[in-house]
Amino acid sequence: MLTVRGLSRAYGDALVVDEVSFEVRPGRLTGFVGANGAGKTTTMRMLMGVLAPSGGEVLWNGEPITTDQRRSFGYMPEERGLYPRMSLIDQLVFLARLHGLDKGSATDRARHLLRHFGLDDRRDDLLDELSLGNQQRVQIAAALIHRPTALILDEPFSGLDPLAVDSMVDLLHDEVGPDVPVLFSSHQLELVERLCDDLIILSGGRVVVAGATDELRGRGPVRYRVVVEDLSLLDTLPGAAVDSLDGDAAYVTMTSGEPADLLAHLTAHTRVSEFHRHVEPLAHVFREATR
Amino acid sequence: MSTQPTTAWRIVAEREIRARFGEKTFVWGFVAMVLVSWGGLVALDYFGDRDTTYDLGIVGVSSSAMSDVEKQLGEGYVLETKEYDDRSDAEAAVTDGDLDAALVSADDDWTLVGNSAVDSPLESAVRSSVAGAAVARNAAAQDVDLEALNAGADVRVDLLDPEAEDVGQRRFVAFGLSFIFYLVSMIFGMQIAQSVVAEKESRVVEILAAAISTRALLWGKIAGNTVLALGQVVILVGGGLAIFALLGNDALLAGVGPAMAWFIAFFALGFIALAALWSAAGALASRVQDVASTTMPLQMVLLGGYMLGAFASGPTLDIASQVPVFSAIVMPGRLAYDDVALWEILLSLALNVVAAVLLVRLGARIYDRNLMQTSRKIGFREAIRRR
Repeated sequence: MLTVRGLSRAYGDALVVDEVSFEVRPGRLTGFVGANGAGKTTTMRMLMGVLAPSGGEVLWNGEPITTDQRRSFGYMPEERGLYPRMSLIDQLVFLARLHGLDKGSATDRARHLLRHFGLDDRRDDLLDELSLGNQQRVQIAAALIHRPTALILDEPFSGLDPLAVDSMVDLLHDEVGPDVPVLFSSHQLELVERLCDDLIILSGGRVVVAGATDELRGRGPVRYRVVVEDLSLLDTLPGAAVDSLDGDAAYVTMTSGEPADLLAHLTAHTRVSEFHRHVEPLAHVFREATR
Repeated sequence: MSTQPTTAWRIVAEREIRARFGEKTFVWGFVAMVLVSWGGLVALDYFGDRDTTYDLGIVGVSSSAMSDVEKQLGEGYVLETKEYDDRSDAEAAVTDGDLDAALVSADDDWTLVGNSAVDSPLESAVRSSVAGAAVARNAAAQDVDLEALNAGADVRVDLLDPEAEDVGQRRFVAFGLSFIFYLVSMIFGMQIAQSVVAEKESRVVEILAAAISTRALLWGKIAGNTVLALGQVVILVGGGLAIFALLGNDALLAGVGPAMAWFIAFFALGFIALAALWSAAGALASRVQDVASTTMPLQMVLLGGYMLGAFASGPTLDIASQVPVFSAIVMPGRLAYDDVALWEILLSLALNVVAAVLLVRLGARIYDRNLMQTSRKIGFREAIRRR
């Protein structure tokens, strides 16, 4: 488990990250969301130890993290970085050896990942001869090269089409052990909503929302989307009230009654073409939180 | 700190070396440099160290008598004699340029025939040889003790530095050594700076810094480029010594050999002293284009050292050969043609060691603090203060 406690970073007088605290639990994909400039990248760089925090600490399994533990993490920085004029295989073997693998196992591991990412036949190509999508794959492979104990991925899916995102996620699932905590940042909420088990929303350098994605979505009043023929019926509802109208559809919040009773009431008096539970998308949570 | 600090820097150094050998410009630049400098030495030997040969025609003189003339000419001269039957034939040969001069003897009358002039070494050798023989003959005829007659008339020449005859060539070697120092440390210094900024520009530095300590990265870079630079210098200088030995230029070999050996030691120290600063200059830049300006002070130091080594003399030279970093360039050159006491060499070396330790620490400090600053160029003053 990766725990961040009261992490802060100031540049001069500007506080970019302000007492940020959250947890990344083992085996769970945690989404790190925020507008541009919210402090996501700064926080991740402090997690990786490439940037010194102004205050606060990072814990690994409850203890202050050591440099060695940090080096066992996999990292994909926001600004992609590998050697542009170095072949894929040399690149990955070099990084693997820096992480302490001997030459033989470094080569095996690099070949394994390249095969897995469908790039084995291009292993002797230079990185900058690859398409951007493939370069991104190599970047992920670089983060996975030493079988990391945790993964910190900064905008790993930016610039990828939806199919590429799905295949990348599948690869991550295959390559990442079941106990590895994964933190990834994104500004694409739908993506995070679809992929993540947990969610952290950062705004203005502070954590505004943190929790399991399902819980966050389920939070707030229980609402139903209702479409009926006779709209006058909506003026008086048993144990419920209309929040808002959207064309033919009405959004109804249950106040005291049961949804089943409400449905029975409606079907008794008019034709009901739609009646279902409405869950707010995370965008709503995000907007509320960052307002 | 890190899991395998020793192996990490070695892996970085290895990558650095392999990356260089992958560049065509590096390989060809090196080949060109070797050819030019070795070629220069061969040319130096060819043009500089040939004995002067005089072709002397003789008429009525036994060629055995001419061995005394050759002795009088001394080292560095060869006398080729050719007998002619009469004076006109010999004069014709002089006019045609086949002979440098002709010596004609009839009875006790000696004539040295030249075209427009006779080279003075040849003339004075002939004069003293003929005069010596005549005096000996006359002395015997007059029954005079020749030794008594010559007593007190001889001037002996004592050379304090007899090996320094070839001082011109040795100056040239000194100049060449300064130039090699300048060129090789410039090439590899810029290489270090560019390698650092390229890692910043491609952002790979962030991944590297997450994997190993920035110090390991720095040492690896310094080690890799020092090995390359030193290898290049050893090949250039060692090859030069081998060329002198092959050409049989033993005098020059003895004169500049030790200087060339010292050169390698001084080069290693001088290069390492600046290596961390080159890295620092790379870390201050954020794009490859910035390197030209962030490395400017270092380029100036090298250029200054080179100029001192090539053109300074007297007390300036004595002082410059003790001021660290400059001295690393100046001293070996000076050793090639000047008499330098051992203590001067050792002091200069020791001062360079001290400077290397201090400058590497300074360079490493600037490097560490600025490596992660990727958005813009940073000034030196700000760099040292940064946390």
